[in-house]
Amino acid sequence: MLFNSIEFAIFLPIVFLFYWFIVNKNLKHQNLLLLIASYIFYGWWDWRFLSLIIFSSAIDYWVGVSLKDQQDKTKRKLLLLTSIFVNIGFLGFFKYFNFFAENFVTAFTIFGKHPDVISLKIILPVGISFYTFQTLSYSIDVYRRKFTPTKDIIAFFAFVSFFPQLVAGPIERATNLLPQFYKKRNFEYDKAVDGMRQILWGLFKKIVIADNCAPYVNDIFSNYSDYSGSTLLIGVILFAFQIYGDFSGYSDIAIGTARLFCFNLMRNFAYPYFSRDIAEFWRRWHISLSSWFRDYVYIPLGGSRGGTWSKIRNTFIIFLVSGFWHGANWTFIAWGFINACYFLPLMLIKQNRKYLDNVAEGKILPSIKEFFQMGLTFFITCIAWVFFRSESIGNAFHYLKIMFSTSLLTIPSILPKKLILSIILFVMIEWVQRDKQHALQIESFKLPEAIRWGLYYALIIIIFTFGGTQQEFIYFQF
Amino acid sequence: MRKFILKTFSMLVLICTTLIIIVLIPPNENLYLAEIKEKTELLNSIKSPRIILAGGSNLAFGIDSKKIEFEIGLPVINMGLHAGTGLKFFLDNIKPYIGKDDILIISLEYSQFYNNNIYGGGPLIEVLNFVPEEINNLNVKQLKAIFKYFFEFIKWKNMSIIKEILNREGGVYSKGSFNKYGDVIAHLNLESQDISKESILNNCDKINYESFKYLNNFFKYVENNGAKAYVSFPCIPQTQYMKSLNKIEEIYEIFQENSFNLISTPNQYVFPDNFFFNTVYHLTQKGRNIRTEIIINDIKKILK
Repeated sequence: MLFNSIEFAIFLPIVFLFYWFIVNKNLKHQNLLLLIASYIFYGWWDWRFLSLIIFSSAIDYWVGVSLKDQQDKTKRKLLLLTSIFVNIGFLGFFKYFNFFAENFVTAFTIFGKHPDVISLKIILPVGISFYTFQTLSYSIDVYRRKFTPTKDIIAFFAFVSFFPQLVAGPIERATNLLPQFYKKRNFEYDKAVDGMRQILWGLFKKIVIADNCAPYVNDIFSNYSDYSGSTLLIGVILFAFQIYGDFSGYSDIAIGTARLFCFNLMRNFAYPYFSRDIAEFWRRWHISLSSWFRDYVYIPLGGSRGGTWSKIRNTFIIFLVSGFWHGANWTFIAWGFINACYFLPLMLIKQNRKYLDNVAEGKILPSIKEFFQMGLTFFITCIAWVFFRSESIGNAFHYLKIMFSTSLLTIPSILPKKLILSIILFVMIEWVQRDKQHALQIESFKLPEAIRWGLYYALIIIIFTFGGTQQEFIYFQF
Repeated sequence: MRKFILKTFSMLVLICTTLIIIVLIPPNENLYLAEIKEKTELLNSIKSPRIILAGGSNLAFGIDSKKIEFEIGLPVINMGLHAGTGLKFFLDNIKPYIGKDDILIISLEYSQFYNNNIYGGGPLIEVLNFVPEEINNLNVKQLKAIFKYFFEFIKWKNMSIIKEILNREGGVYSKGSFNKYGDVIAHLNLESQDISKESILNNCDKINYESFKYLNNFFKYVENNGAKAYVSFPCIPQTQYMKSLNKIEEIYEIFQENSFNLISTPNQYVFPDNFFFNTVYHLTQKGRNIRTEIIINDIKKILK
């Protein structure tokens, strides 16, 4: 079920009313309702893949319970390995099997051998990269004794499949989300209202910004060799806003929806395009994934401790793995590699934690220096996006070659003026609200109720009138 | 909680009221799809025997009905409008008007035989805005399509209202583009556009045999009413034909296996790419003239 579909518009109020009016007296019933609702939400795509979530949840539940009383180190390790094997195994099979098979053949072809390797027609289950990481983090935390495993099977299954964030995150940690399933939840008016606002802003970002960028981006990237450098520049800038609007919009809807049920999900985006360097960008972009890799890959590898070579190695590992997580294509690995190259110099000169606050804190406008820093960070991010969006690494290089040719100085043949204007307005709104959790957090303005209602109403009508053609969320493919 | 429900419900009522008003506002009568009323009126007013051309926009943008009328000596009604309304809709629309000795030439875009395209998409709900009474003839699958495209429809309606207020012309996609036979003529002197990025079978992966079954029943209905129906094929660019050759051949074979009255073969209607105006099915003046000649010959053969 898509958040921006009529089905979800019917589904959400029904679940909400059942949750707060029918099963509100009993926590277990509330959790059971969330579990059933989550399975309906997921099964709407393809009910067959529900078995994967159920199996993955069952394994991690069993691993958790078994780890609780297990003192033997070898057995504990074996239990953890079971969880890793099952989760990464699923991911490896459904997402990476054909990639490895094809590259295996290519590698042998170089040496004149032509091995027969089966290429399977595998459908990628929606959200598999998200829920496997979420459930994996539970097993790892329990293994590390950072988290007491639960015996409440319904709560655990509901935690793994919690519908607001099931298919595209934020990737939650058991330490944050699971305890919320144990506590009695009382309706909080302010939280619910803010959740609604966040949903509205997420829908705006997705439907008005991202979906309107999509056709231009698809056309330019599919036929890049027909266009001038200036048009390709427009293409990659539009893609930067498409992917931001799409993914952060999804996160906003997910967080807002969870708040309606009195759950707090972690923040996933913090205005990343207002970053002054790439390290700040990575603290603000897809926070739940970056912090997952930090906690479960980077730190166990030694993090930034140790010598220079170990720092370099760890940085490359985390960025390459992060790139590969996005998809079974060398383009994503290249994207990770480029970001590692951007990030590494900052880390080596110990400048990677220079900007921890908001840009131009307490000021209306940024300084000239900050403005150029943000522009440069956005620009280099766009260069990396070319690799992310292209069909192959060769295409990405070709794209950049044309983009940086003399035709960059010509008038672009595709210049969607109205869309560019709406993106500028969107950036301005986000700039004004950059110290808030989301751009529609307007209670500090103390606006009269009629104005607030007018604003919400106008936003909804804008979404209905100027929304692009419905597109799936980009991150569903990951 | 009460306060939250009350406020959310109030906003919902406000939005729903707005949406209902948007739906009920009379549609902009200058839009392309508004032509459905004129076309239906032609069916109603011109007496049988007639030649009725049925299909999507490949007919609207690809036939010179006046020339056919002159050459054959029978009145011609070009019912081609939009493939997106689905073949079930546009054939259902013709059904009540079929009279004795009518000749129906059905020319369907190839996508009509794939996925659920027989039941239409966004354009179906848009065209219903002009002929709301037709909603009674829709089946569950068509209603499902309407449900799916409801938000798209609201967007379309809002934009059409804005265009009407701003008095913006719709270019070739306006009601004024049609002649009295139902042919689009506004594009004939315009320069053709790049169609190389288009595809005749975009997102068409699974043949839907329901389309053939429906068509078969329609043919029987036509015969029972003393008329005759024939299948012709739409014009497509050479490059597209080569790209989709296997699928086109598969469709043709199904037609042959089911003994449909075929008056042509798909390859008769494969034209050079520069004969197309703005999509892979819309012809330029030159392409339109050649297609009309071929179809006249086809009709002459069946009249012998």
